[in-house]
Amino acid sequence: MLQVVDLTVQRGSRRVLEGVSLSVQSGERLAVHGPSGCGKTTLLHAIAGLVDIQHGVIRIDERDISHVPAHQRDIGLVFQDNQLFPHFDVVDNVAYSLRVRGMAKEERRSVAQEWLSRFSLSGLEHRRITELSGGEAKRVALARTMAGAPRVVLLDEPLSGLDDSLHEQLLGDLREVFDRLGTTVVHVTHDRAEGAALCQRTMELTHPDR
Amino acid sequence: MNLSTRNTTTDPIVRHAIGRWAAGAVVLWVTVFLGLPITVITAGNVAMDDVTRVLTQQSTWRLVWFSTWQAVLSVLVTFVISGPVTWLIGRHQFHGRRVLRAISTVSFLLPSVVVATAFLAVLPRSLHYTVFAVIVAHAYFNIAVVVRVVGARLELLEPQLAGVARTLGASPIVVMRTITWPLVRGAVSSAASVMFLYCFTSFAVVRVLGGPRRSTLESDIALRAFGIGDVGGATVLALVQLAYICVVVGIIRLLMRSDIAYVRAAPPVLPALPHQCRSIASVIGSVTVVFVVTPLVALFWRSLHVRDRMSLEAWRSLFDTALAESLRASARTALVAGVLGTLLCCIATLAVVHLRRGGRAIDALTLLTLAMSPVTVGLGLIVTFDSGWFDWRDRWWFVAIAHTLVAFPLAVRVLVPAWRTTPVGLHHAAAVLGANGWRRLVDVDLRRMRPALVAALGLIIAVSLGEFGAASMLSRDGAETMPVAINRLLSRTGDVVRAQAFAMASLLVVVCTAALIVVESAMKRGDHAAGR
Repeated sequence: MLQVVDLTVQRGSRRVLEGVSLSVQSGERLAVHGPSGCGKTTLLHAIAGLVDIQHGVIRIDERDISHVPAHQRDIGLVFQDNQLFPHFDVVDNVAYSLRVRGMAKEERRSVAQEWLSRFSLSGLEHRRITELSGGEAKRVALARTMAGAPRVVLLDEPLSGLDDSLHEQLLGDLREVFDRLGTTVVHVTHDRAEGAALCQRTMELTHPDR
Repeated sequence: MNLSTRNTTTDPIVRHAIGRWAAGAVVLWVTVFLGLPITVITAGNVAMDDVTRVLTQQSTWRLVWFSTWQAVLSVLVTFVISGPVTWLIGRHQFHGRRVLRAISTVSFLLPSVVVATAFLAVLPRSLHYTVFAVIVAHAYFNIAVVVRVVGARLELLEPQLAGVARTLGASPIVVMRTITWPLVRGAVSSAASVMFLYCFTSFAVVRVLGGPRRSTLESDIALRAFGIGDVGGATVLALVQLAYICVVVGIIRLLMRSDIAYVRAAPPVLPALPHQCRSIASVIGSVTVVFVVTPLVALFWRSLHVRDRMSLEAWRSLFDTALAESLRASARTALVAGVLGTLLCCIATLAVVHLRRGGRAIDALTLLTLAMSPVTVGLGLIVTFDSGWFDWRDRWWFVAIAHTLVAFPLAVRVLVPAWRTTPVGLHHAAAVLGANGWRRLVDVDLRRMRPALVAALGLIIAVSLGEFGAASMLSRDGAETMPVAINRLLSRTGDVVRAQAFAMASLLVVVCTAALIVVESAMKRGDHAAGR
């Protein structure tokens, strides 16, 4: 279970988030909506441990992780613009989290291969990142996050910029994977229909100064 | 906006013809003033005896060994000194970042003889003529290379990549090892190789700060050719040095092949400096500023002190003695080299942008001239053009010819990118509005190229003003350029002559810094005009 209590994040003198609280049960999926600039991405980065918080508590399964370094939180984050590692090919991107945990090369390649096939990426293992289409790059980013089997997955507008058919197809794939694995998800999106299609519950985030 | 390679004329036949003529002109210039001299000194001055004599002398291999280890050590020391400030500037946004970057790169165009003189001014006498002085002076120059090459790559690194890696379980050390280092490794090896080549062929710094007991291959070539008249031995050493450089350049190219091409159109927004890092950042910034500025301040300070008291005597003597002739010689040499070099640059640029394979060949040819040591260039010129109508050794403009060879490859690298980023759409718009080829050249190309042309001119002038290797071979008594005059003053004893050397070096600092400011602002205007 993920719990965020009274979270405040400040950048310089500006408050980006103020007093935000949320709770997501294990296996539950929560969609977070809100206008541009209301701090949706910052909320995900704070939960993932990529920005410092000024006030509040973040817990996973009752354990306070507010000040635990990002690499020890076991929280996966899919960035809006994918942020694939440009010096790795597709399979090495997907296997990265397994590599940093010390898994043997053959074993991690086989796990990565499994995730590539789940996201319909078989055959692209050794493709360079710069040679992927927008949809393929999104799938690689999702496969990379899922391959590490994180306890919570944070999605930052993961389907934005895709055409309608690709959007629908990927939404279906994600729903299937999350249902099968019982993944806990916080999904930030401006598309209410997408949020409703993927998540059981929605939450509205507003500007901290309103 | 289409930013693809564009051409002055849309007619491919005319374009190709222009390119071929331009390539022919560049090849002719390089053949006459570089190829021919190298052939002459190789064929005419090297007997088998010379080769055997030089290659079997232990001193030759001691020179190679000293040149190598001092260069390796200089590169390592440079990374230690410049690493923190490069990381600070390349990865963080903070107040004063631009000023810190400007100060750390100020040594970029300072003449080597000036930097060597500045270290004579700032170091205690016990450290004069030591390897320590040579290595610290090399590091002083090279800070600019690391900040410019590695810093630029760090700026282009997406800060969020490290964040992604951390959410995937990588600790900061693992992020550095698996993400950051592989993405900056190419820039680090590129900077290291440039610095190594520079330090390996170092001449002025070793001559001024190394003292009589220390020589690199480069300084020994000059010593043999002009100190003891052993032109054959000097030529063999020049060939040994050329072979060594070719091997090093080959290794570098092999290493660079695995460099990851990670190119972004524009740098991402850098994250603000974290609050907890501010004090360490202040220390890094202050140490860098002190390291860069102190030798220059000491130089100026020592120029105002004669016989332990404040005096303007050294400065006055610059303008009312024979030294004034050096100022005039430097000024006219730099002007002629600037005009000739810019013209040559424009022609080389036309060849590079209008020809495909031929353009790449011209580009490689300019690189070759860059790899030639200035001392070898000077030696070749003086041996080749020494008789009859072609006895140009006493002509003041002969130094300017050598300077165009040394400086124009750098300036070509300013002009070519500027030419290539002129949007093809502008050309088409002018054409459909009725502008013919010449009008398009004047109204579109030259207008857009003006900042780059100013930058190229400034760069060649700055290089010419500070060039020491070729000038020390070709300058004649009474018409020495300033760096040569500084070296001569430093080789004499006496407070007054030393203060005169410091004053002249201070003057060169001011002029070269002014040229650097012109170059930088022109390039910034060019970037702005190109919408970057």
